[in-house]
Amino acid sequence: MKKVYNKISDVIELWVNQSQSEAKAGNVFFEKNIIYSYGNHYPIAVIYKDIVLINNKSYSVTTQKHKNWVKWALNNKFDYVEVKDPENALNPENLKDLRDKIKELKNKYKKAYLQKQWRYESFFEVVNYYRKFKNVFYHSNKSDLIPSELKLRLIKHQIELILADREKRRIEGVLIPKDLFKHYQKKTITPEMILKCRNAEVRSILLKNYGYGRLINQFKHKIIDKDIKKDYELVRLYIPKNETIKDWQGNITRELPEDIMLIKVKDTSTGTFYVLRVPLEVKTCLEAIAWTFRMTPDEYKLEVEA
Amino acid sequence: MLKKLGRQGELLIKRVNKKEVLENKKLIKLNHRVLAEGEATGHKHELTTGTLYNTSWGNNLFIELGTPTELRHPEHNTLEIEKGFFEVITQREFNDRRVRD
Repeated sequence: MKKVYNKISDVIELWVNQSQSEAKAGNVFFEKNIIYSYGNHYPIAVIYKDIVLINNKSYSVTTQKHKNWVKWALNNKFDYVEVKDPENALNPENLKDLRDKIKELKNKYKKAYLQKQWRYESFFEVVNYYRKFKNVFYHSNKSDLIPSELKLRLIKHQIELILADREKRRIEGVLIPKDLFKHYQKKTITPEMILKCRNAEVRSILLKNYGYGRLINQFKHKIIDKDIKKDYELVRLYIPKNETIKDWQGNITRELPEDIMLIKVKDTSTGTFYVLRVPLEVKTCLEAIAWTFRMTPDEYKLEVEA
Repeated sequence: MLKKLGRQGELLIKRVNKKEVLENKKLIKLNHRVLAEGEATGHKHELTTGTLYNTSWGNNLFIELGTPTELRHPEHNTLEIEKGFFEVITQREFNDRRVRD
């Protein structure tokens, strides 16, 4: 079994997936479920069932960097809890307590077992459990997924501010970034803001609010192709060419803005409209959609679409 | 029922030959069944059964299904997938940006 790797990212990934018992790269290594930075004195995190406890103690810039990589790798795979006092929370005795608590909860929810619900229940029970010792605080990007019943429980545990702030920026269940939400409230959203928005779901909400027709009418445009059956539309927006911006040496510092090719697509399940940017070379709606999936129009022959 | 090629929202499921994939890529087994999760909504594309594999940092995602399986999402219709080995392709945008919902 290979134990020494060149990339820290590989080691972190192996640890997240628990594909092997130990591995090392640079100053990061893991032994079973615990990953360390520089030495055994600083455990970055420990995987425990479906939860990860992360060391919250600041140490050095590099260690912080390692910690961020771990958090990034955990994203979408585990809920994580930051622990202020790692020696207490990560020591085997407390982990044993945690294990017992989870067992107890498993039995409790056995009858009405729903995997997802149990996951949240157990997670927050554990958080509450540790709260008793005042050495843990809730920290998760997934707080928006919490059922309302549990939200009330969280409020009791003084984490309502984080949620309240985020919840306010939700439109139709979609979390809008802070800066865009300000413009949304003031109704000062511009077509450029919509086109620059990287998240397709957020962009769809903004587009719905702004209006697709209004957006394309802001630019000189040409409809290249239409698929009436599927309600797809391929549009080229002609962006006015600004003057080039040069620095003091005469070098061009900003490129001229390109024309934009957009495909407007309709989700078959939800009926929501999305716009996706595609290369200027595409000529048909089918070609554009196939391109978004790295395929040719001939290869893109769907049997089912949901 | 999806046999060769199907789609659920921004995910395309394509049947591939497992032997050919294993010749070129080393697969790592994942301990969850979530194919993708919306950043803004938190909604997940989740399989009911089967095994997920990725290569490195989630660049390529593969699923192996021993029995016909359902792919579920709160907003989309459920997609039924036949047993077999499939690649999961996430929709992209020009500038090679992944579509995130």
